Amino acid sequence: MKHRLLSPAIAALLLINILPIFPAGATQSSDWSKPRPTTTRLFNDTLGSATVSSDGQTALTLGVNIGTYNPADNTRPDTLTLQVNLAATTREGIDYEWTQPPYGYSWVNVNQPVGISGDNASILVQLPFTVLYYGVNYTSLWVYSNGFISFTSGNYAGTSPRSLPNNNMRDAIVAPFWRVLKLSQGGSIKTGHIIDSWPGDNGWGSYQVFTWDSIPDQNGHLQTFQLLLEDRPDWSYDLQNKIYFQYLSITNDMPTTIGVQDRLGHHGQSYQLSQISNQTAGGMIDYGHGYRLLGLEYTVTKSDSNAELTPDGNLEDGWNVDLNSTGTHTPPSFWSTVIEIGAQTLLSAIGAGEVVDGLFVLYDLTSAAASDAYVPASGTLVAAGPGANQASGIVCCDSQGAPYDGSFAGGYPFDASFTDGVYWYMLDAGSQNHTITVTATAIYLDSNYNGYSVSTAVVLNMYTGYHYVDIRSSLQGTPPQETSGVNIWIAGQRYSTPVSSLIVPDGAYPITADTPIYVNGQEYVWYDWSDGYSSPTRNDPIHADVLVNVLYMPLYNLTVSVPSSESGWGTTSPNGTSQWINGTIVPVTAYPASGYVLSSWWLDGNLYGTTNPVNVTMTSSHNLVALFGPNGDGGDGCPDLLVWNGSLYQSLGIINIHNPTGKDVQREVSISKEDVGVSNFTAKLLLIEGWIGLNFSQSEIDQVQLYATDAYGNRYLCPLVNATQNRLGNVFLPLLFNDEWKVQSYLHETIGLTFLMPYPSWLVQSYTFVVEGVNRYKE
Amino acid sequence: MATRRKSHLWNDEYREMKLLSGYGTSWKVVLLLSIMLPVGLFTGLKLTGIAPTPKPETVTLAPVVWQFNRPSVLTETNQTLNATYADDAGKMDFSVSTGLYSPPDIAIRIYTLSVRISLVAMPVKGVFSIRSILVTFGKDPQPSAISVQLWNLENLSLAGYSEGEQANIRLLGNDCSVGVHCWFLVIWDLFTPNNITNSREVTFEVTYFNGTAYKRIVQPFELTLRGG
Repeated sequence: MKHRLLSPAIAALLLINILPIFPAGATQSSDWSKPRPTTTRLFNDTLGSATVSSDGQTALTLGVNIGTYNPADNTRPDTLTLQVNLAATTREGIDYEWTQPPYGYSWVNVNQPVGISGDNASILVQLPFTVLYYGVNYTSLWVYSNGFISFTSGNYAGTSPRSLPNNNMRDAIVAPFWRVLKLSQGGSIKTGHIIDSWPGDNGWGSYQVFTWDSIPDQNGHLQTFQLLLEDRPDWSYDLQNKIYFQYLSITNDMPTTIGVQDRLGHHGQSYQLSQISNQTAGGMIDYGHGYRLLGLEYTVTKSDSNAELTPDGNLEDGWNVDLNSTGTHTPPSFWSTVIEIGAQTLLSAIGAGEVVDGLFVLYDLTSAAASDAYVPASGTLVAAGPGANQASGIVCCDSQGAPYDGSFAGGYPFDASFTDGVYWYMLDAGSQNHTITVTATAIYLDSNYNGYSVSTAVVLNMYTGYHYVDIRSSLQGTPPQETSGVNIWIAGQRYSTPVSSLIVPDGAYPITADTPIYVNGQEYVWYDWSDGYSSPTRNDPIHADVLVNVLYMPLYNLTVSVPSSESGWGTTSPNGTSQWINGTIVPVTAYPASGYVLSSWWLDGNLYGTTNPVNVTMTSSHNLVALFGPNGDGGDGCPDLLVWNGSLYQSLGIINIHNPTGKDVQREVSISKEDVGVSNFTAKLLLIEGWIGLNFSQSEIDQVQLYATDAYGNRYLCPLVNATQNRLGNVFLPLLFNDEWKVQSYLHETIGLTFLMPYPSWLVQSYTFVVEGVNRYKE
Repeated sequence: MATRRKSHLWNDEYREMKLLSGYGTSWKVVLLLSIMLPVGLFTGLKLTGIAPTPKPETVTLAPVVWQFNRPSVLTETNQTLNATYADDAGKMDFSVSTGLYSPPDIAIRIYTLSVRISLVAMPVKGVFSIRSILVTFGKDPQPSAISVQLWNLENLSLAGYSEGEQANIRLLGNDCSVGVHCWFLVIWDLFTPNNITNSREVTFEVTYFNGTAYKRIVQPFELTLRGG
């Protein structure tokens, strides 16, 4: 009887391998139901179901990977891709029985210390051979001072004896004599690899021996016993490695556990201490129930006639199954190798035969191998063609390598997996619900060739009348940078981006994106939806999937100002601080007062031209300063003198060197000490030719000088150290001397001047700038 | 719940599949002879010329070529290639459409391309009887396979199809001098990474009878998915 549990949480539990005990006859599954998308949608879901046959012998898991839904195109109808994965094991029936060793008690001496000497201690020991225990291969184990070993954990050093099996301890444990022992008070634990030493063994085998020798318990009584792990030959008829216990000298007056359990703690055997006496032996042996897998089959059945199910036999894959039975392609040899490596990795790392949790991993390993190999898999025995009500695939099981093959007749394996790709076509145009049932069946045999089967199934449903809403958010940039955590309001309910696969009924739902938003202190405002919707609130009814991105643009400040020292010389529009979205080109106009002219713009401390209006492109926040100056002598003049005051260039007005005769004119400009920002013993000045409103101007500058003046009127020359004209470059030498070598400067061209200022601040009371040159033409 | 099956049934079924055992040998021999004798007799008559097979005139049309750069993401190629043949007796419209180029997903872990092939053949005058249609998917130099998925037939019967590295679809005409129509959806499974070029020749071979002779029209389509 199946018990289908519909909770998706069950599927999640299956996939993250934390299932509790999975007893015989139990089934767990989860079903899948989603709306039919109107656009391509990658579901990337995995649906699982697992069961153990009521006889407890076989575990079967079914995994259905749900891939991509694609609406109809010019070649095919609406399509959902599926991968059906089956894995089964008959190792579920493995268990050990207490038995007498074939040759009775025969103590074995070993002498190699395992390396622990304290109480409640454990140590990891490598084995010289592989031990197959409850269907899992191990090459190492932890030896505990308290008289037991574990193949999977060293975490029970301080744990007092527990009953076995015990599902609170999910570890593979072998306990010859689990008792609290005081190794620190005496005795030792030794090990050794003994070959052909068992009396009467006829030289067949070898053993790894662990001896707890003369270790006192809490009553002070010395306990001596040993564990023997048989090296199982490849050709052995034994299903698992044999385990023997021998007791040289023990007492039965303290709580003690003798037994074994599997990795999940749900299979195991224990033996009564009272039945053990000194110089006796016992063993834990799996005598072999002999159940093996014969075949794996899946069926996919649809509930309506308006759909098609078609396997893609080219995608078949599996482990321990005959994919070549009717196939037309023979895979290259490495194909099998790839699959084998995957499964063997599983065996050594996780352990096939462990119900449920191992098998789900087996799917993934097998499928990964398939996708990496890029080789066609082979044909199938049975696969329904187009138009069939039921698609199916069936394969025979066949061992592909140790430790699977063993000696069982026919080579039927313990474990097998089978996978195939299936296309689910929905022939209507999104108007109809569709349901399919995927059923997995494992057929298995006992040692007398009696056949049995176990099945499990999942149901997949796609329905109409609902839609997906997926909303992402990004910040403007090249490319846009995705951001998360933006509030999106859908029908009054708040969601946070990214909104993924939200399912809403068909109908009218306003969707609103918050604006403005703040990211890392930067303000952003809504800019657009990727589908062109032109408002932060979308009011259109939802009749299809909504897959959109909402784009936000950063807001930047533009601060336009006129220096307070030039108050009344002019104004700007805009002025003060205004906010603009990224990329906006903002025209700024200067309005000089009567008798003044705009001399220059300064953007973030740098000369930004002299045109009016000026455009500022807002790709970040900016400070724009408009500098004005007196309008010369009624129209005569040139150039404008600006002085760096430490934060910006400030205009001191036009220096009138206009002379239509072409003869040089010398002018002096007095500069107050406060207007000069001296930095690194230098002062910077700037000459700008002409002013806004002129159509043409040409000056020839011959020499520039700067003097510092003390309180007594004495002048001290500040040497010119740099002169750069924005068109000509370095003009230091022409401006250094009073000669015929001059610098021609046209309208709006600039000459940056740097003077050395070696004099102490207290000495300087003011400055005098001297320029010699002529402005012959201007209009 | 484990279900006990009749052991001999399951054992025999699966042993037969696996081992091709000799179970039931005698009736198999009878069955084999009942097929081989008539076939051998018929073949013998053909070889001796007593029952000659009409040899159709073959007209091979120019191939239609399609090339597409393999994208790395899901892409609708949305192309339809057309070719037409017409004579006094009838007209044939061949088409090959390419649809979704799909990258690997959790279910189909390889690149695939959906391809729809179709043929419409209509009589013009007189006798125009479609006898057979063979669509072959030539071998791809790189690993790939064809999976036949869906189809629709009008006045045609499906004689069989094969899938895999080399695939074909075999159709037989149902009636004389009527139009026929068929389409097939196939999936081109690409077992190669995205930088490898895959190519296939899809060839229609249509054999018809015009009242006096058989004629075979061969229309190739060359499909190439360029890697890189």
